[in-house]
Amino acid sequence: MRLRPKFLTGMLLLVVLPVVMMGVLFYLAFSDLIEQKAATYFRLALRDADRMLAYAMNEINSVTDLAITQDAVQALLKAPPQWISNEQARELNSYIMTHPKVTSFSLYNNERLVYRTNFSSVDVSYEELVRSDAYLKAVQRNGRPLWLAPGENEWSRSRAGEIVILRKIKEFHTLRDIGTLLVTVKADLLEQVFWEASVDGEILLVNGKGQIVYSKSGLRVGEMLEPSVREALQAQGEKDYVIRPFAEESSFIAYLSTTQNEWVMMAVTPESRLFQEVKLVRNLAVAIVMFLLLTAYLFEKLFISRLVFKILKTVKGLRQVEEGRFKELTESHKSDDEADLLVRGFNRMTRQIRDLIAQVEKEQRQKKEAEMQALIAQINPHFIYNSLESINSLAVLQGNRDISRMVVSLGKLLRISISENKELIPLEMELEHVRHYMRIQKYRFEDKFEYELELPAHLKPVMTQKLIIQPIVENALYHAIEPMSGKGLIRVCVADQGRDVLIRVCDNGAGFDAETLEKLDRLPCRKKTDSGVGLANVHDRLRIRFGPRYGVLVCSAPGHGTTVQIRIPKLLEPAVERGEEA
Amino acid sequence: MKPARFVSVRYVLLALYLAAIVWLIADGYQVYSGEERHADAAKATLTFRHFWLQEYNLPVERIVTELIEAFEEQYPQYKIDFEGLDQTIHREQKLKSEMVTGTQPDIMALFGGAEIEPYVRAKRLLDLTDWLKETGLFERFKDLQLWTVDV
Repeated sequence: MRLRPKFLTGMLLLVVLPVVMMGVLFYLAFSDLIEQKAATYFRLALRDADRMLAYAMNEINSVTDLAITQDAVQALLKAPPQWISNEQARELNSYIMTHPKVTSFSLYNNERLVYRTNFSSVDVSYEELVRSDAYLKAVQRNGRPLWLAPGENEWSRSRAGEIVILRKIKEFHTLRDIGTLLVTVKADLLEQVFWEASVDGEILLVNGKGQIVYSKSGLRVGEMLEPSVREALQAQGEKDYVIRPFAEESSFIAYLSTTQNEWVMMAVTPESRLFQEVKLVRNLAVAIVMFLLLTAYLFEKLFISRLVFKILKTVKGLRQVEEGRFKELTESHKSDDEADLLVRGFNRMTRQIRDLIAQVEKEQRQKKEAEMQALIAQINPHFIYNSLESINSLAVLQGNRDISRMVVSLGKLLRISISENKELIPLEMELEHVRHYMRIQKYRFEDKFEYELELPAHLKPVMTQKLIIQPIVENALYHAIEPMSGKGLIRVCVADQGRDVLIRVCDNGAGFDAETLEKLDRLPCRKKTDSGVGLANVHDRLRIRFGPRYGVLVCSAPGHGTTVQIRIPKLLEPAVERGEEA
Repeated sequence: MKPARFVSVRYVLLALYLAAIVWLIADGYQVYSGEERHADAAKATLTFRHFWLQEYNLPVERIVTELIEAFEEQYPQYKIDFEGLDQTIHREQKLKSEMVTGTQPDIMALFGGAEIEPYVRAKRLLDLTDWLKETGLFERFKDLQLWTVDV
């Protein structure tokens, strides 16, 4: 994996993920806590309200309980008179109307209306009553009171609405139904309970059908609950609250079945109000998470990204160095951490390598130039040629052919060794040079030695470093032939060996042992003039020019002469020409 | 050997980290889904009216009191409101009124026979036939004639 995606993955996995998760968990835990707290609060508040409601209802229930068991009431229903006297009416009223919230009541037997207080806002005929759903329910209640809140009784004509209590009356001894009691109660009975309840928001009473029968605010009485709320109420088994839209606003709805009737009491609070704190915490969590992410991003940008950038830069630089381009990287001036040290170190290294290479190149160039200068510094070759030509003419005029030949050879020798500017020359020319050298030496040594030169015709154009055979031959002459008492022989032969060409210089001199050779090798003086170092000189030059594969090999044993072998590559003229020009 | 160990340590750490994340998410989810905490269900009170007030009735009263104590210990969510009342007032007045209004006690001492007939017909009493048969108690009564009403 590359560095950058690695850091990115690490960042995502170890920083972004935990931070976001922490924020989300924090928020969820807190909102859950708030929700639970709200649920507990509303549960207790609703229970409280229910207790107060039960108390208020029980008060009135006790009144009617007492009334319907009274002999006067029982007798009236069992044998209803044609009309009721004021006295009777006063007695009846005294049983029920004593409660301050009761506004009116009606008594029915099993056939008709028997008695009704004056000014009742509910005047239901017996037939009407029996046909109603409420009556059926009251029958099912089996003598216990059925409470109808303002929203669910269809009889009340008062604008504020009234509570209607309906209950069947049983005969004292036989417990058979002998009549029905209808009581109207002021709606502010409920109002009082709800206003005293410790719930700020809306409180509803809902009957079994999902109809709103009473509301603290007075709104929506008689309407049905939203279907989604009704469904939620039915579906929820254990929970005592739901969060559903109520009156087009998502609300927290706590509910409790009342102990006295089949009503459900509901406290409705808009979620937005209840969860104000949650929203605050959510915003805080989001802000903290954002801030942490921002700091993480900054950390990435300021440190990691810069570090990675520097490493990548250095790697790129290294690749360039591998390709042979020494380019320095831009350095930052301000910070000086390890990454900067890396870049700086890389630059220093690059600089050093570049300088070294430049130095080597410069030194080589200087060396070549020095050599050239040395050559140029020699006596003007033309002057020497002319002089030699004059000597030659003199010798010819005087009839001395030996001098003439010697001078010609000398001239040729000089031409090759001095005036030829090229480093590489054909083997043919090199051997020519050796031949002239031999010829001159022959005059000097007066037939003390013979020489043989062998060059196969196809090897003639092979290019070679110039002046490599002559020093060897010179060596042989001075160290092998000169000390000899008899006649010496120097043989130069050239052989083809695949890619290479071998030039062997053999003599029949005294030869030498390994120790002498080593001594020769270790001689400190390496001046050009010293013929002893000619060997080493040739060897070095060949190695520099052609590579470590090439050079000089010396074979010798005392009494068996010496053979020096020169190995050069088989280079042909055109290629070499080009190489020279380049 | 050494690099292999290093890699394995790294993987162990990574695995631990992932496990921690999974655990946190699971835990958070649990917190979020919020298990219900309804421990404070209100105590239910059952009223029990008897008329074992006379000297000769006290052994019965003691037996029932012990029974009630045992029951309350076994079912701590119930409280039995055990109250004694004069037999005549209970049977002739109070219970009759209560039967009319449907506010009779949950459990009460009664006499069998004709007295309970209207109560049964008005569905003020609970039919125990099935329960007696289920629990096998039915066989253990010598005679339930007085407590049997055909509806």
